[in-house]
Amino acid sequence: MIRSIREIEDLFQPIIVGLLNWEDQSNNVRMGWQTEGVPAFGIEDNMIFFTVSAVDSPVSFPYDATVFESSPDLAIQTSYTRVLEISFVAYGSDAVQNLTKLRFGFFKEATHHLLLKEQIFLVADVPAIRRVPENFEGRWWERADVKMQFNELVSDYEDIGSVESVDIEVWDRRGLQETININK
Amino acid sequence: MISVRELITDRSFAQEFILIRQTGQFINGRWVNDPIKRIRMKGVIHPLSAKELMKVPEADRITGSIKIYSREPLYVTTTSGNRISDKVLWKDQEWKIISINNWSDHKHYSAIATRISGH
Repeated sequence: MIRSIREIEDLFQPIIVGLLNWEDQSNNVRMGWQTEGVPAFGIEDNMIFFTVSAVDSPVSFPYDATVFESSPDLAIQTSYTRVLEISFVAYGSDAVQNLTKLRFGFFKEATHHLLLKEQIFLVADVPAIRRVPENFEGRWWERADVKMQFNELVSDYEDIGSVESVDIEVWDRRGLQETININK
Repeated sequence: MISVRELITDRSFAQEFILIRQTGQFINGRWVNDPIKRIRMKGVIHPLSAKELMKVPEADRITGSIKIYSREPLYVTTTSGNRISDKVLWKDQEWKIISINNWSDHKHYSAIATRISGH
């Protein structure tokens, strides 16, 4: 399966909401880069914004190909590990705490199982959560950033034809001696 | 004294245009648009910058901006009313409002809008 970035965002959004126990304010977890722009938020609002992008990694280099039977012909499955980098930006007075909760949350067994179903795995080497308050219109807005990486198995399937029949001709110096047809 | 409010609807200057008003809401963290509202309005529109060609490797991009004077309020993206910036349909192009001057004390509004189609 080749997921679109939008599908990955839609997959992660409810997980992040759950890890923060923000079911009653689920829309405070938002995707970045929305096409037409969206209304902003207040300095006191605790918000999480996230963006998803693939990054280079040596684990992405191996490329597997498996041929298997698939009616009526054969199919080939090719796959590789895509490394997704999710950039989290938190605003609000609890920005650092909320990203810390997320960090703990992604290490939980239950979260691991949720992502396992989607063939997505946290790369455990999570960097520090950085506090980076933002100066906007004369006030410092509390902000914290962290980037986490996830390995995702990306697979593609393609039906490939198999040999239906083969004609074999036997020739010698006198010419064609025999024709043999082998069917599947 | 010249009244801008009167000039805005003066037949010598004013023209009709369509305002596209877009509200919406967040659903699961993603902005989802409500059906758009098309409002017939009257005001003064003039080019602010010449239409320019941006040569980028992928294509020729066309940019440009206009200034709009109206008696009716115009909006940029705001949480109040959950709306994103108004667009103006003018000369067969959509223009997105990026800046508002609130002259409501003088009974008019002015706005700057940029050409958004890119081609």
